[in-house]
Amino acid sequence: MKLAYVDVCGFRGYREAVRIDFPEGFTVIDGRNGVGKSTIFDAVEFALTGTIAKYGDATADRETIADYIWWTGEGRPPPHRYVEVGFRDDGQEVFAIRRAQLSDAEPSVLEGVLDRLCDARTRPEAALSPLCSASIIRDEHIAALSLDARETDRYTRLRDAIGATDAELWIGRGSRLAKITGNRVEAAAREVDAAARELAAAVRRIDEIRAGLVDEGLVLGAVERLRSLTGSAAPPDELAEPARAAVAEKARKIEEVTGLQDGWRAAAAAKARIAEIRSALATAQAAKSQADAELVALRLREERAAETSSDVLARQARDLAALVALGRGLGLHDGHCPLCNSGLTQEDFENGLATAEQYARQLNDQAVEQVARERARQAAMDAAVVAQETVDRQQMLLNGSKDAVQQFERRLVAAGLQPDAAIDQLEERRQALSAELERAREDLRIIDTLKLNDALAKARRAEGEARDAHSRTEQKLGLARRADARAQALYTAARRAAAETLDRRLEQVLPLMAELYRRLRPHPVWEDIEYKIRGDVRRFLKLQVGNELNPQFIFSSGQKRATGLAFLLSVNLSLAWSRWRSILFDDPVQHVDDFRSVQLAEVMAQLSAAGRQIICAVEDSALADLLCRRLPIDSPGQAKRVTLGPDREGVLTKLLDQDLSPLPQHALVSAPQRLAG
Amino acid sequence: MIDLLEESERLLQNADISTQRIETSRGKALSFESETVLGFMVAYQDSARLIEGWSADTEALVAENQLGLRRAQSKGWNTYTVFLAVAEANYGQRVALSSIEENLAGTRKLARAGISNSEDLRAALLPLLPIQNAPHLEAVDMSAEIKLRTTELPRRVVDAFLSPRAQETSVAQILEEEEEP
Repeated sequence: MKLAYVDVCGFRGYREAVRIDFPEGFTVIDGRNGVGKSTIFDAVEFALTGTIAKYGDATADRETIADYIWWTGEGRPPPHRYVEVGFRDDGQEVFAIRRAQLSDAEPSVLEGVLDRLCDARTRPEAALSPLCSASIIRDEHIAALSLDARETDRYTRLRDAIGATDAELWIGRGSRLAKITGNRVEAAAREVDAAARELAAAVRRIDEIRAGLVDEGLVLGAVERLRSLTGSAAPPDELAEPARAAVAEKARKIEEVTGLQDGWRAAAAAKARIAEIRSALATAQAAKSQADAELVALRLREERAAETSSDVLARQARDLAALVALGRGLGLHDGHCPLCNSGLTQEDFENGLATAEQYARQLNDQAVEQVARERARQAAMDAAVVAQETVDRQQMLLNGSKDAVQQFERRLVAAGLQPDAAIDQLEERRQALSAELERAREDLRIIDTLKLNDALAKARRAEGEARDAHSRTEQKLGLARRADARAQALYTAARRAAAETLDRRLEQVLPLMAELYRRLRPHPVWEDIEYKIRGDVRRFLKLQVGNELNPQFIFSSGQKRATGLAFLLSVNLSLAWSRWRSILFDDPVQHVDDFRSVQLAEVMAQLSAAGRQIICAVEDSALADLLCRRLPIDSPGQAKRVTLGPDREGVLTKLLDQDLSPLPQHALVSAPQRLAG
Repeated sequence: MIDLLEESERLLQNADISTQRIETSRGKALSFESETVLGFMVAYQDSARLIEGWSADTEALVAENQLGLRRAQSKGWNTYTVFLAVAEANYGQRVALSSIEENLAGTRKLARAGISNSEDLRAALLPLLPIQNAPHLEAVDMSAEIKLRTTELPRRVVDAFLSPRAQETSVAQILEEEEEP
């Protein structure tokens, strides 16, 4: 397949339709900067891939190359905006791809061109992009793949060109498979760890249970004692319940004895108080008797002194004194007493009043005495009441203490003790009960261990199950490890197959690279270059000249570019899956001197002679002349020179489209002459 | 010792370049012509003689073959003059030889020394010869390559891996299940 034509309109800088037909031999395009030389190559790449890769992902003000694919200049808009690129197969049949601003290429057309340009069996995924990048040699690519390119990038470029195209597929499958099996190994290992922990826990449980088990003789003794304690003939495994009840009863009895001890101390105190109370009671009774006697005596004396109360006597005294005062005030009235109307003399009257006054005073004195007696009697009565109350209180205390003592003695009796039991007896009893309780509890613990036998059996079963589970997980882990080892082997085999086949193919390609380097001869001294692959995981394509010198630090910019050009051409000529026999050079001699431009022309001539279609754009018309002369022309119509530039209106167009003629033959050497033999 | 002119004649003819032994006033030479180029070749004993004589030899060759060069018309622009020496050049001579080559006045020049065998000669005449090492890369059968490197694994395991339709989880299962062969 070779390029047949490029037809553009409204594309990039081309407003009007421009079509360039490419002969099978070579085409040299020249023109000053900005006349659309690169656009011809852009059109080929855009038709095949729908983009222009040299701009990469560059953006500016949120614009990308996609915003500048179609014509955006000033003036009259283009009549159409499209790109059409034709390819011609060996049978001269032409296949075209057309992309327009409003209609993209038909997928079936693209697929057809892809099948014709690339071997369907061996081409990589999305083959058109690497095909363009290997077939359209641009200054940007030359610079990128000059000696300053990273060795890994250089290796990758070559690997993509000549490596087994499905190698990455198998490596990826191997990698994913190894990851899956690796994950399974990890999961199985986690299961093994978990099972091992379960097993260890089961073993520990058995150890713990065994540690809790006691001697059989101890168990029998405990059983006997508990039977004795409980009075039960229950079998050992049924003895725990009554034993616990007995233990509770023992504890209750200890509490009872402890209570008796407290009661004993209280009763002893009560007994000590009874004597005191009795003494106080006797004293109170004596005081009561005395108060009663005094009261009787006072009453007798009161009876003898007057029968009139102190109040009556006092009133009589006051009345008599008032009557005397009245009589004295009235005086005798006609010799008659105003009070009693009896005839009295004044003297008698006066004497009578004095006597009355004397009597009134006596009455008053009697009243005073009577009051004193009454008060004494009242005091005696109060004393008698108080004494009686004291007696009553002491009696009550006495009775209370006696009752308390009697009640405690009844408790003692109820507890099976003598009423006069000593506190030491109670303590002895408490200690005895405590010892029995402790013994019973210990015995209870011993017979409780009988249950551990069941637990031990269960633990042994659990350990067996855990051991089985552990064994199963180990088996699973073993299988997972085997699968992982196999996956790793497959992954390694895929990588080795890729690397070794690539190395094998590199061995085929490296002579070409060395030859192209030698032909382009970037450096006057270092005529040969050595390409070395190194690295196991990350692979590098290292370039060396002379005695393992790195040309990156020796070569000039132009020399580096010439080296990069040699590499790019090697890649193009090595593309195993490409059927496209065109090499497009987009101004390949920037920064390259005239001498090396001549050498590039010689290389192009040999490529053309070998059947490659050469399409080369240069800015220098003299170089274009050289190329037109130097590249071979078998017959008319095999080569062409095109000059691009603006027309009178400034519209980019073809200024020259000239078929080139073959050069004269046998001008110097008259006829082919063969050496004998 | 290699006869440079004779060996060059063989090489050029094998590349479909016509050759002709010629005699000039300065000695023996070889003329050649292909579809696009023509030229002359002169052999020297060593680099010193080459460096000393190339210019005069060129003048003699061009002057004595004017007729043919005129016949060639524009092809005459593609005239090569090739100067070869058997003896190895020292560094200074190599630089001088490079300077001769980089002199584009008149003819395209190839000036090489240290040509002791046909491989050296082939390298010197590369600009005139077709691509020598064009690789012919056949498609790689990765499945076969992987099989070749996994002979220790059960066949069914490798087949499962190489079966593009088999899910990777299914392949992993087969990797676990399949017993050793």
